[in-house]
Amino acid sequence: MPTPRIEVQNLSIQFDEEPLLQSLHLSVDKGEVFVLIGPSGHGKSVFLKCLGGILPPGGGRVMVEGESLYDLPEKRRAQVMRHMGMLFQKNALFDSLTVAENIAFPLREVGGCDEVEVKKRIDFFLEAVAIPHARNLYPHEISGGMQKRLGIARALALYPETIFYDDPTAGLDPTTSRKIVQLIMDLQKQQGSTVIAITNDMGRAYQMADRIGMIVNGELIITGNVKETKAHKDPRVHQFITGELEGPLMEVSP
Amino acid sequence: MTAAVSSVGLQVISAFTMIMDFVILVQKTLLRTISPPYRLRDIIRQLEFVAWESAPVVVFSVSFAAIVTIIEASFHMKLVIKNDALVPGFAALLILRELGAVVSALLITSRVGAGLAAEVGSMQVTEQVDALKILGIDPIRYLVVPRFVACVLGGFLLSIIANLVCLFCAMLVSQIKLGYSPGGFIMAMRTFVGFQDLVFASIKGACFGAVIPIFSCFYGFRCKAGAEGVGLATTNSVVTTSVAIIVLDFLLGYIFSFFY
Repeated sequence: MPTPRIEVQNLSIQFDEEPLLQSLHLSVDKGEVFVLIGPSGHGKSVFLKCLGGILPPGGGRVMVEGESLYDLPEKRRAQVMRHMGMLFQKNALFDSLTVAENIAFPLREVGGCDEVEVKKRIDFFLEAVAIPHARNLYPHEISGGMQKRLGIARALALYPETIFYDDPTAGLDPTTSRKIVQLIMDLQKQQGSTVIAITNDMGRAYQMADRIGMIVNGELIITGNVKETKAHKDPRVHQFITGELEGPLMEVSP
Repeated sequence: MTAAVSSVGLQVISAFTMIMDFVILVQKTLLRTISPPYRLRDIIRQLEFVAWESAPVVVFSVSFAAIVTIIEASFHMKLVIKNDALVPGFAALLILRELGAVVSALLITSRVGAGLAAEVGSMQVTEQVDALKILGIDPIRYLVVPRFVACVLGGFLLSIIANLVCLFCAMLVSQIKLGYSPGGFIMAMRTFVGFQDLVFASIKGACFGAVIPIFSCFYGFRCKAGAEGVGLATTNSVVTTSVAIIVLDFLLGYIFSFFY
C-alpha cells in the first residue's frame, strides 16, 4: 500500500487555551483533491495551517510522506515544506513587491533558480493565471480576482507536490469563482499535485473534490465523494450542504 | 474569590509566557545573526533606512539639544555661582555620557522602531509571515536579523555622529553666546572627558540599537488583527523600547563607572 502524501494522526489543536479540534484522523493520497467544508469559525483554516507546518498542533501528528512534520529537525522540516504551497484566505501577497516579484520571491529565496529560469517561470505563471498585463503592478493596484490568481501563481511557482487552498473563491463573483476553480483543476492535472482546499461554496466543492470532509464542532466527518456527500446521513452535513436554516448546526456555537 | 485567584493566575501565566517568548526571540536572533547565510543585501538596505535616512533627524535634533544644554547650564551657573567657566566641560561630559547616545536612540525608536513594529505587525495580520513559513523561510532570519544588525551598526554610527555634532554645536554656541574660543572650549572639555567617553557612548549607541528591532519585531509578531491591533503593537513597541533604553542607559552607565 503506497504511503499517503498527508496523514493526520489523532490531531488536536487548542486555540486561546480552548480545545478547537480533537482527535482528527485523515489520510490524503498523492494526486487526490480533498475539499474541506464546514461552518465558519470551526477551525478549517487553523487545521490547514497545521497541515502546512505553520501551526504546531497541541497533540497528535501530521505525517508528510511518512515523516512526522513537527518532529523533524528544523532544517529537514524547511526542506519538506518547500514541497508545499498555500493560497491564503487573504492571499498574503507581499505588498512591497510587484506582481512579477511576488512570483519570483520563492524561486529566488528557496528555489535556487537562476535569473533565466526565474524569468521563464514568471512568464509561464503570469500566462497560466491570465494576468500578464499586471506584471509590474503592486498587489494593491489589482482587483480581488487578480490578487487571487497571483496568490495561486505564487503558491505554484515552486511546483509543489501538495497545495493548500484556503477558500480560493471567497469574495469573488460566481463567474470568477468558477474560472479560479477551473484554473486550480487545470494546474492540478498538469502537475499531478495533491490538493487540500477549503471552501463553503458547495458548487465549487463538487466541481473540485475527489473526497469531501466537514469540520464541525471540533470533529472531522469524512463524507466521501460528491455522490456520497450529497446522500450523507449526518443531519449536520445535510443541513450544511442544503443551506437549510433549521437544524443541528443552529445549536453549534461558531 | 476563586474567580479572582484564577484570573490572577491566568495573568501570571500569560506574563510568564510573554517573557519566555521574548527570551526565545532574543536567543534565536543572536544565534541566527552569527550563523550563515548572511543576508548582506538586506542588511545594507536596512542600514540605509536606519542610519542614512535617520541621520538628518538625529543631527537636527541633537544640535538643538546641545544648544539648549549650553544655554541652560550657563544661565543657572551664572545665577547660582556667578560664573559659567565650567559650562563647556560639564556640557561635554553630559553630551558624551548621556545626551548624544540617548537622544539619538530615542529618535531612532520613534522613527525606525515604530515603522518596524507596524511593518511586521501588518505582515503578521495579513498572513505574510505565514506565507514566509510555508516557503520554509524562517521569519526571524528573514525579518529580524537584517534589521537587528542594521540597528546595532546604525545605533553605533549615529551615536558617534550625534556626539560629534553635539560637541560642535556646543562649541559654536559657547563661542557666540558665552564668548569661549574653540581652543578654550576644547581645553575645558579635555579636563572633563577623554577618548574613552566617546568609546563608551558608541557602545551605548550599539546596545540601544540592538534593543529597538527586538522589541519592535516582538510586538509585531504578537500583533492582533485589525488597524487597532497594528496601532497597539506600534504603541507598545515604542513605549517599551523607550523605557528599556532608559533602564539600559542606567545599567551601562553604572557598569562603565567602574572603568573611569
